[in-house]
Amino acid sequence: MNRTDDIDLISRFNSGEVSAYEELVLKYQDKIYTLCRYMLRNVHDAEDAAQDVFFKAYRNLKDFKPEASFYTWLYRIGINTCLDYRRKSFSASSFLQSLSGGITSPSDQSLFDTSPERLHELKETRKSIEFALAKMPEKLRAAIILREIEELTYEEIAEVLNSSIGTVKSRISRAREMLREILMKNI
Amino acid sequence: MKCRSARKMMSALIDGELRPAEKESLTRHIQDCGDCRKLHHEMLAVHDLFTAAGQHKAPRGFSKKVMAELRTERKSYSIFPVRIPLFLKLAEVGFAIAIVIVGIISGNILVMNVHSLEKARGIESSFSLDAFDPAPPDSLAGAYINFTEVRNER
Repeated sequence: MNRTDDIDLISRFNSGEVSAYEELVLKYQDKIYTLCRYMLRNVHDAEDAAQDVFFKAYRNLKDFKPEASFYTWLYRIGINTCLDYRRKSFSASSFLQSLSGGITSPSDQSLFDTSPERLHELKETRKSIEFALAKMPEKLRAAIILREIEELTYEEIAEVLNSSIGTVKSRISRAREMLREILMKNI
Repeated sequence: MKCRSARKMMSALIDGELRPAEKESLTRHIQDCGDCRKLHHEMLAVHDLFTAAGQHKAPRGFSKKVMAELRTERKSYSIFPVRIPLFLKLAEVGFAIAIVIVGIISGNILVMNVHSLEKARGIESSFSLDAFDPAPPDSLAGAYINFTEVRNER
């Protein structure tokens, strides 16, 4: 994630070039969508939440301070938006989908170019991870997703979650212990 | 190193966040302790599971949808074509309200004045002596007075 590129795009946007924002959306859409998928487990909520993240970022971009990283700022909006979604809308559709265990949707682009065996394997893997993540407290879930899925460093995670590096380290460690217990029981 | 300390550091080992001395000490412990070795293997398996799951791809047309929505929002959000500071927008609204108030007040004053003007005209006409003119200019007496005045002037 190139920080100078982001700053350049943001300054172009702030000087009136709206298309610069579309470049930022294209650059981060997969990461934010993935974050929302693992945080929310529901395809439709994840898409709505990911869109909301970019709407919120757009409205607040003029207040963004260039000394911070754009992507950690965006992830922070993402985590907060997902937490809001979880609190507000444990909708009937989420419930039905969790019953059916469906983690993919017709619009799941990452599965389009995959062989049937690999597709099945990938679906099962994601299903297990989503199942285990759903059983975890929100704080641990956010920390482990940012580390394992988004591959952020401890320092970056601390920035996103507004916590100390020590807290992040401890949350990730506890999250791994919990995941191990849940997943080893089910494998 | 004790197993309790080893457990605490195991996650940081997977993430490559240990100092070289810590890493060396923990690695040696894992080689010597069967329980910790098993735990380390299981934690690595969980980590590999995440790596295998990878990232999702955003739905097709995601960025277009976002930008279209933002364009609609921009159009409906403001009647101001360019970004204007909030205090100027408020001043503009205040100015519009002031114009309306001035209009209402001046309208009232005008209506009141028209009424008093009509009233004054009525009073003036009621006291006018024109109705009692003994010799209006177009009457015979008026013509006589005019004639005598002209003659006197000569």
